[in-house]
Amino acid sequence: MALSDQLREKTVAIADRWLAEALAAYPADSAAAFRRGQDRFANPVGHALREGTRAALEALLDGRPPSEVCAALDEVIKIRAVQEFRPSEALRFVFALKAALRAELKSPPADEAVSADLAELDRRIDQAALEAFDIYMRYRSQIGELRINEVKRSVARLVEQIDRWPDRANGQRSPLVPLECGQSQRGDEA
Amino acid sequence: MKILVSLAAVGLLFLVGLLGGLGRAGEVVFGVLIPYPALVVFLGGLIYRVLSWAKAPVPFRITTTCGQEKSLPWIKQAKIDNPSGLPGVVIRMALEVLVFRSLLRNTKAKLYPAENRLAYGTSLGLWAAAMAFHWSMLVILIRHLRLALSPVPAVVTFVEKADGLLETGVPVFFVTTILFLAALVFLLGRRLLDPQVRYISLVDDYFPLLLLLGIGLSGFWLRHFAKADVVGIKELVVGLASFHPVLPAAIHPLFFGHLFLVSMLLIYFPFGKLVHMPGVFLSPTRNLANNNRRVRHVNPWDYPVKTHPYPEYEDEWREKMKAAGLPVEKA
Amino acid sequence: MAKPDEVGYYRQEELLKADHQPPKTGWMETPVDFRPGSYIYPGKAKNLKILGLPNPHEWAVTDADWKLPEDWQRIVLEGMAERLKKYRSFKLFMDTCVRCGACADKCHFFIGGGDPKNMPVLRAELLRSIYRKDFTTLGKVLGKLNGARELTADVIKEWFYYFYQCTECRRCSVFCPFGIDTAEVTMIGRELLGLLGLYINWAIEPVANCYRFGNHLAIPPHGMVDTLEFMVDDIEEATGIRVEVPLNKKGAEILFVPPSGDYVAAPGIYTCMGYLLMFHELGLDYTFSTYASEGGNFGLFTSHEMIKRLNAKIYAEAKRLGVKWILGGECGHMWRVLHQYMNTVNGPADFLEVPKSPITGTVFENARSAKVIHIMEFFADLIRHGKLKLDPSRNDHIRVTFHDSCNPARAMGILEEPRYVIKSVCNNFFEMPENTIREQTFCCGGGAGLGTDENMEMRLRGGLPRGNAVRYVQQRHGVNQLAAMCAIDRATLVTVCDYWAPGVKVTGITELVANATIFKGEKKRTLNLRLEPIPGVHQDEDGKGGQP
Repeated sequence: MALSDQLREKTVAIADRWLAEALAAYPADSAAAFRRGQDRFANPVGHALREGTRAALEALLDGRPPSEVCAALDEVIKIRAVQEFRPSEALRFVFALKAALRAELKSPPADEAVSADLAELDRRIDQAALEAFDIYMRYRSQIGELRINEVKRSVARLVEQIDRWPDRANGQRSPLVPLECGQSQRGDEA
Repeated sequence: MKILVSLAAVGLLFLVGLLGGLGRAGEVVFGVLIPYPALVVFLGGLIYRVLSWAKAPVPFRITTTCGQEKSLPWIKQAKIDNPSGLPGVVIRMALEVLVFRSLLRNTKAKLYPAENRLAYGTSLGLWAAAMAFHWSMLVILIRHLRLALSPVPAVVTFVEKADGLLETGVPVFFVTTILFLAALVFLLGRRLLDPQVRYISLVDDYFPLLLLLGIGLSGFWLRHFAKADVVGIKELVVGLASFHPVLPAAIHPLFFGHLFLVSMLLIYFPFGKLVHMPGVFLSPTRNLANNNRRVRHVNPWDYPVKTHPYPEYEDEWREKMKAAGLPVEKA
Repeated sequence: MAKPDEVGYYRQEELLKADHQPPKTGWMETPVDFRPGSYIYPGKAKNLKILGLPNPHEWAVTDADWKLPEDWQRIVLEGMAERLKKYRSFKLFMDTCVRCGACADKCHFFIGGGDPKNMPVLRAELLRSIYRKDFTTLGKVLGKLNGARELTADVIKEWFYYFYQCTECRRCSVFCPFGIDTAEVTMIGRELLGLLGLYINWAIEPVANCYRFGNHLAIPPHGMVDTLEFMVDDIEEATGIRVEVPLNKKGAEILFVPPSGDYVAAPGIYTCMGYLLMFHELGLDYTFSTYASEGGNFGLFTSHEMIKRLNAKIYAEAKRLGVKWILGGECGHMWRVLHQYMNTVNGPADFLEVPKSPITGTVFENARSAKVIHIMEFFADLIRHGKLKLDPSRNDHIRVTFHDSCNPARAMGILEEPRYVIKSVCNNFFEMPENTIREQTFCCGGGAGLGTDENMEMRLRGGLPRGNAVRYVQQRHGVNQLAAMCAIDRATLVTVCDYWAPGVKVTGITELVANATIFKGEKKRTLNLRLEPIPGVHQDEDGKGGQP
């Protein structure tokens, strides 16, 4: 039987294993909470992980390009980008798919054709993982932008007022005392 | 570790009681000498704990509101979940105490992708086990009054009759016994198997569960397997209750194990988490009406604080205020 | 052994194994790991000095030594003992928890991040463990087995991390069978940290500003004049109406107190323009105050004493100006203070009159003693009596959902008024899923002093449950605006939506009301208060946008 057929029969089991690997990044009790809650509103992380890994696995087994496999993981990566992970920890789960696939292959591939198929699958997973870093970085830089935008929004009105100042007649009054914006790491700096 | 310590403690206590029941001297100790002080510790400790809470004032009206407040007359108020006066509070507390209403709020949404429809259900596991446990415990306590009261009040007989509805076994199996034990096993299992709950569990959680399980099992055994002499036990308990202790001969030693565990429960009760029972009545987020804009709540320890009064504010900004055309108090 | 690029590599038996779980340590053995993006910068000494708070000093969260006062343990334990005597809530909540786990998965920070110490029960245990060790028999005897531990400097760090990772939103309290409210525990925890001079700057600086300037943003009186006058210009541009801005006006009937966030930052400023327009249209005899220019009260996120110190100005100013009653703007935590605390801490307000709408004559009996009403109560009454000329079709390009802010929902219960008002001014209103609104509403992730930017990841994690529900209605109903009656929401949910539900904008309710109101003497309305063209209106010749 071809490798892809063997694996397709085991889709559910592989997805479960992969989900377990993805959940392993969290403390055991949290992982249990994410795994158990089926409510997509009460447990968005668990929901995204379950749906995302399943869809990515299907894309992979259907032979769709790595970019599509990775796109299915977009939501998961977006969530991981704001959780307390180092980049390596955040994306380790993508590589873990390899182990999950192997675990469901009862014995090591017997013939070379199947081995080659497995190597090809691995290559596509690697490619998807690399693209996952692109997505991860896109969200990480978005977080930086959101920070900047927030600070901008908090002063935008003041800047606008100062810009419009010459339009206003008397000029006797001083412009607003500028706000202190931004924060400093240490408690002493003014 | 925490569960092992608790298990060992309960096992040891049971053995001590059981062995004590083997000799006459032990029977005196475990049948008479320990139950009295245990009861004293229980009542005294409980009163002390409740007083220690009651003594602490409630400075602010911090109701947790779970529905629409009383506002305009044409807007429907959630009278129970957001009470504006005593009747609402009484009903809210009653629902909280009698049916654990807050635990019923665990809603779970389920999406039916085919119809793109959401439906809500209530997650009942914890609530059902808590209800089963607490209510069957109450019924069991009422049933046990038969042993302490002579003549047996009608209400006790009635409860017994209702409880023995299944009419199987000799003597009859009580529904609540089964429920009580099953609920305890569920609660213990949940504590052990749910990693989230296991993570937060302490000896104070395992010990009372195991103690109650020990009491339940020994009681069950006494009634159904040991077929202990109820007349003798009643004589003892009635004696205890009337402060004229008598010690009839030939009471099954297991009974002393059972009684000793009960004594230990009484002693433990005021110290550990079991005090939640009276505590729930005092909870300020539940037992206060949400009406602080209508009726002023007074803080008994209110004290003056340093503020920044208007004159100081104007002193700092007067010239700027005048220049901006703002009225000032002092020209 | 074969190399990965050789076929034989894929025959390695051990590669079939997949099994790893992280090592598990008890929570007491797991130290705090301060990661950037998850903690908030410390309170600056100068702010503590303005307020006369103890131990102002220089420190950083990442420092090993936080320079606590010499006898800090005594200070904390005495502080706890004092508060156990003064607050039944605190004493009871330390004692009655049975660790049933009902609250565990109710916190938005736990749901979005998965840090076990963000389970409400464990957040409280951080404090309870010290309480057990020093105040209970069982804790003294059993020690760690019963969740008791020594008070060490690491415990203080842990408190700082997790008590400033709680938005005091009270969601867990709804589900607790004993009504244990983590907000109470967090408030006391923060007070204890405060005794050591440990605050976050994003809370203590607004507090210091509020003390001196009367508002969190340090807007001086003349600055407030300018700020509001600029809005007057914008309002004229949008509507052709020139409104007046009564400030510090003695003898006005009503003192109006908004959150100061609405003065300076979008989208709050549009809500503020809405206030000005609506009050002008109604001919209300009211006044703003530069001294009581802020209803928000970061004292709530600092200490009980600070609530009182900051809020005193409101009744004091009402008395000085001689107004009859007070109207409060769209703010969240401000309404917890005005509804649950103000009457107690700063009352009795016996110099004021029971609020009575000058337009409808409705007497607000529910505010009979505190004499302050919510602007949504005021508007709902007006709309009910048909006193506003509304054209909701002007908001037809908006598909709106409503976010219940934590405090108005769970510390007041104003749920129907905002919905009634929104439905009266918008034809397209869609509710988010049931377990994410009303008393079960999810926090924006930035309340209680956490709405700064250095903890952005923490906020986005906390905002995930809310953002997720918003995206659901966005996908399902095409929702493009989220209405919220809270200044913190209007600042933080913009970011939450940008990340989790891009395309959804945030608005205040009064902004929606003003955009739908047909004002006396208005010019043809082609711009909304944001000075953006109203879709579909500019082609419309009669300029009314079509009556519904």
